[in-house]
Amino acid sequence: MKPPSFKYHAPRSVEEAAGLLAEHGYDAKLLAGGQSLIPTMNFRLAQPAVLIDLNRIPELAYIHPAGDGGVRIGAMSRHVQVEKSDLIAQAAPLIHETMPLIAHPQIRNRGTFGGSIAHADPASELPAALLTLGGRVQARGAKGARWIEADEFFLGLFTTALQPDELLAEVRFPALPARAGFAAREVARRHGDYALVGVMALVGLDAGGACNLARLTYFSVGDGPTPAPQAAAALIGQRPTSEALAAAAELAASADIPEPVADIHATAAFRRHLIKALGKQALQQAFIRAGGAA
Amino acid sequence: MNDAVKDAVKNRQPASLIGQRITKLDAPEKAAGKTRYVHDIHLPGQLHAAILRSAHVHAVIKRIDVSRARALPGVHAVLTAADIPGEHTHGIVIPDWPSLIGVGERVRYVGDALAIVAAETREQATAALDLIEVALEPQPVIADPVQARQIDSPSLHENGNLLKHIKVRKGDMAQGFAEADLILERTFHTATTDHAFLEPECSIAQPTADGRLYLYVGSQIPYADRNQVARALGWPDERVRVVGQLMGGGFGGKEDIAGQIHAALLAQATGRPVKLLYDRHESLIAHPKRHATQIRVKMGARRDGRLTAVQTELYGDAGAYASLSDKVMTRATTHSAGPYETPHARADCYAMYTNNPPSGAFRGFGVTQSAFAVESMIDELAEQLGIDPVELRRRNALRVGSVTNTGQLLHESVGLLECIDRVDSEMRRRAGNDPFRARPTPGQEHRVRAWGFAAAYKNTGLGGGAPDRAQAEVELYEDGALEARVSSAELGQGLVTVLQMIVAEEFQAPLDQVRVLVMDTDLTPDGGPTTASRQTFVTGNAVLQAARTLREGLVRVLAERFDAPPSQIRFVEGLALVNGHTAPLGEVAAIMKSEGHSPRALVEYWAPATQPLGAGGDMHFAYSFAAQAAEIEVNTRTGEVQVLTLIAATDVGKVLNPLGLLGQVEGGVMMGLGNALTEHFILEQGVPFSDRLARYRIPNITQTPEIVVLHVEHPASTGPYGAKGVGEIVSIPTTPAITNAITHATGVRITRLPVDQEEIALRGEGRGR
Repeated sequence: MKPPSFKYHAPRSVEEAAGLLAEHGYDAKLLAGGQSLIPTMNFRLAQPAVLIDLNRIPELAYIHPAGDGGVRIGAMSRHVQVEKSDLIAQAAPLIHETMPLIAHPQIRNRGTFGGSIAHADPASELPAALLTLGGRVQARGAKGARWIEADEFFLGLFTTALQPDELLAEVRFPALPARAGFAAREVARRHGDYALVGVMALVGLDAGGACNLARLTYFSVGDGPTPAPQAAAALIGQRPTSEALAAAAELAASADIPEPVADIHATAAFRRHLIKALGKQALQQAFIRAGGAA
Repeated sequence: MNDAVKDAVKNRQPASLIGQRITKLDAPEKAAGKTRYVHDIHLPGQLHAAILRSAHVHAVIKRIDVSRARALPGVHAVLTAADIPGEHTHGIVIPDWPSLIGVGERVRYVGDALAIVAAETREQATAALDLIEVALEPQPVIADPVQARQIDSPSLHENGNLLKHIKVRKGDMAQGFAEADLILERTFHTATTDHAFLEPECSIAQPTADGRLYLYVGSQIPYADRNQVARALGWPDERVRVVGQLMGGGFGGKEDIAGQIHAALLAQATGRPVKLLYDRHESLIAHPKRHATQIRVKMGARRDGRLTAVQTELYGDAGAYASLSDKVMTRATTHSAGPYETPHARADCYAMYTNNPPSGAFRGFGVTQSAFAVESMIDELAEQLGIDPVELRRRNALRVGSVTNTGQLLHESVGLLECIDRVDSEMRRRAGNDPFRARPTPGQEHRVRAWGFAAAYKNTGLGGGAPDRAQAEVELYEDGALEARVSSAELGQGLVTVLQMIVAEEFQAPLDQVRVLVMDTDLTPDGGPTTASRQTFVTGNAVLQAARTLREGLVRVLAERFDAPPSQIRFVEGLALVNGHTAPLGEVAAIMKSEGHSPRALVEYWAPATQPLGAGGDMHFAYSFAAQAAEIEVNTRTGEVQVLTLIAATDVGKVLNPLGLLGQVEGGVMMGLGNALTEHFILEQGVPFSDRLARYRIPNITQTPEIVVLHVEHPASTGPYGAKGVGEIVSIPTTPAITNAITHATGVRITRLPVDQEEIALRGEGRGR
């Protein structure tokens, strides 16, 4: 199928785009890489009256260091640019490691970093990474710009804190603390398919080798990126023994996410199993990278 | 020509092309993206068609109102069943498939067509579909073949839901099981799968000034298309010309009608050329699939591993219409005890109509399904008897002198033992003497590797008493070109190259002096269906005979003209050598014409006769054999399976073009791998979930193993140069080789396809690996 007819705008600046958004609001959709929106329109699951194409706004595509040692990624940066960026590899290694997990090279050539986060697909990697790293996003509209913290950004299935007259302009990640480690893991039926379950882990160790930072975020298990706070809390103050990690992963499955989504791709029981298995693996690797044997 | 060259030509031994690696003629242009398919054809004044499909799984049509659609600007015709001038149904074996479902008639699956539209643009045609009003009365849905056989299920066709009960009987089952030291019984399920050929269906129908209709289409059976289109139009066959186009894959999925009749009806109604192109969604929903099959196997063996009895019961999901179900499920049934000799065998298959998309031909033709079941059982038998699974297969393998379950004495060309031995020794060379033992990766004990083994056989040709013939014509032109003409289909498998090689070989002419014309019902004689791994054998033989007949004609004329004995006349490098004279082939053509002979030969080749199932004797004129071994790695935590290596040995009688065979093996293995691990056309109460490729998982390059290709050549005396079929056999053992490897690695028995990652992860968990 092809989409029903729509009006098309290709603004040349963020200001112009924001003006169009202010004018059309709920009737408009922003076109970034189009890797989710266009198929959705072709299947007529989305029928926007107006399409605002962000692909001709050069000011939205960049990867820059941030003052605090972190990075700033313009929303229209293509996945492939982030994947190949030396700055990202060095300053945001979890993002560097996550990029190849996203779909296929063809999709990464076209799909955008900001688009993926604004789309908030529950099976997507980047929302979970944003949450795990404690990043934030800049929303811009005709009325100005504002920053939204990751943990206030994702509101549910394909739903974010962006207002209808706002566009996502920039994603910012802080520097990793000292003695921190990270990992990204996912299982798909076939490489490049949506993950059945995925997880991002960020951990830190104190001088005595005990855990002083733990964040664990799953994806493809619920309505959006799904943190496992109880599992993380159980690790704080602990030495990262194999038993401690297994217990934390167990807690993620039993307490944090006891009812993962069930669908045609996997049952809830399989997802619970993968929450445990992947959680433990991710924590193990994260602690090894933080310098503590797991 | 100077004397030196003459001498060189004279003394040269004819070099055989057969067995040389020949690049397919169309390979460079395909690689460069220059190949033209049906959709690349744009005829002047061409309209575009669209089909209103049921979307209901089972319903009775109460009303169809097309008046608003007809009034839409740009629309030239909207047709319903009432507008069909000729026969309303089509079907290759049983014509039970309505081209359009009329008022008062029954919709039997979501892809059934209710109305067709031709408009100036594709967009207008699609828009018109939204304006057609349909009222229908939903009926209870039959979603699987076992349910279809229950007494209280509604009848989908006049004669009920049983399309066919297929029986194999050999020996005495009671005696066979009484003689067994061990009896195993298990039920297996295979999934509905799709061919997922790259090129979706496209037909262009063109009315001609002289009142005929030309049809441009990629079809595996051009003459069957011609016949079915003509019948729908109420015309004699000859009034329709099918101009077959190169296909972007078929795999059995382009045997049935898919758009040809609709395009023809619209072209006839409008007087304009009409293009009907399926998009992927429509292609997936509409065309026949591989039969989902339930297979129960009961197998008895003595302590020494010799089979005493094999009993199978199959339920095949034929879907809404017959398509080739009768033949496919017959092959599934006759091959259901595997490539082994057993004194007592019984098989019963129930091919059942359901409300799922029709099932039809798909590379392997039913044997893919039963091979999975029987090869899994053979492995389990080996384990329980404590016999090496390769050795167990060796002890029971069909060989010359064996009698198959249908009562056929195999008198030649049975290379199964050599296939088994070759794969076994290559496997053990790589893996050592205990390849089937689970090997956890040191330091990563949840990653476990193991090998699996499987064997298979598959008939070449239609068999079962069906007349299996091909006509072919070979002509020599005065410019020296040789042309072979036959309607058989090139779908990427390399038939054209094989035919080119055969003609070049027979005349000892350079390859580029030979051209091959295929798939045109006006210009090429009927080569029969491109199915059943038959074209190299049947059409190959037809072209070979035509070439030899023509060559003999040349020899006769030359012998007379130069007063030489025929035995002294030779052909080398595109030249005829006679009595010290050399004449280019084109000159010989001119001589023949001048003497009133036509430099061409038309033959009709009949493959050796076969017997119907139940009659005993030769049910098929040849079989190909194969063995494969797969090394896999399982992640027992996540259930992920990676195939690392696949060793494939195939007895194809004689390898005509090793490069073509390589392509067949690699493609076949990947299809078998998909069938094992990822491919599942998911239906929910007859409604396809897998209505796009994102929801139908074809394996990709990251899943491609190292594929080792071994040739085994046990010539078939009646095959061209000894060759027999290859298209299907290469794909059949792959699935069970992989699933047997998974069982060896994890202890989890795989009884359902595709392999359930969840089951491996959940059941592998407690095993301490």
